[in-house]
Amino acid sequence: MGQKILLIIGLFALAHAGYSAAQHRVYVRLTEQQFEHLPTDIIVQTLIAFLACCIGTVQLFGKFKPILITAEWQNKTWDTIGNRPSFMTFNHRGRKLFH
Amino acid sequence: MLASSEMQIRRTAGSRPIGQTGSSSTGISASPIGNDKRKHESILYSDAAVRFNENSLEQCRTSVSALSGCVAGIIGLTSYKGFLFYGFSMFLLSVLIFMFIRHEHRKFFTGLNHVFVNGFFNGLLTYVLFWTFLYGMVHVY
Repeated sequence: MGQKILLIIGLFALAHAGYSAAQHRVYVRLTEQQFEHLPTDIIVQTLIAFLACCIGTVQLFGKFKPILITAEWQNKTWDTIGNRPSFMTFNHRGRKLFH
Repeated sequence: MLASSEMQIRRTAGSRPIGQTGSSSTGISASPIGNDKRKHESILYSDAAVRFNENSLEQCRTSVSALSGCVAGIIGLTSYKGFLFYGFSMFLLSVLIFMFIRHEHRKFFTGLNHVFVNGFFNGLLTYVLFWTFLYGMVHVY
């Protein structure tokens, strides 16, 4: 849950930074100034939002499984693996003995 | 219990071919991919787990390259700086993944090449797509 919150906050911050960058461009165009580069705080906000989104993404999608087959077989007993219920027969002498 | 002892016998056997070890496994879906021929032992990997790990990595890479494309478009990077930023973001992703699985990376991948080097340029076209789109949105319109 915390990873999703981090991801959502990062995405919102990125969208906000994009919108403010577009507004800055419009302002510079209206006042007929030369556009050198974006104001520093927009760039800083973008980079921090990018870092937050990256961490949230890696936490959300970065779930791996162990690749050695022995890790999967570690907790299985023969009773679990050797259970073949379709091979069980019930038509044996126990029917006559115990009923 | 019998399965594990069966497995023990198979692991220390002499020069048994891989086909026999594959056919004498139990009903669980496993196929021996790795084989250490020097010591005549078989290291068994689960191919479903290997595929799952590669899939996870690919999902991470695609989303991070899309995100870094957005960032490059917003900041307004052009030409070679944009591609440098892509390399930097891929390196950052590799470092983040490595920090998350630092203590058990042998358990998840056969080597660190999978995390750092393989698939480095997989997200390049996604990056360029989002980069040009956001650049057009923010700086042109």
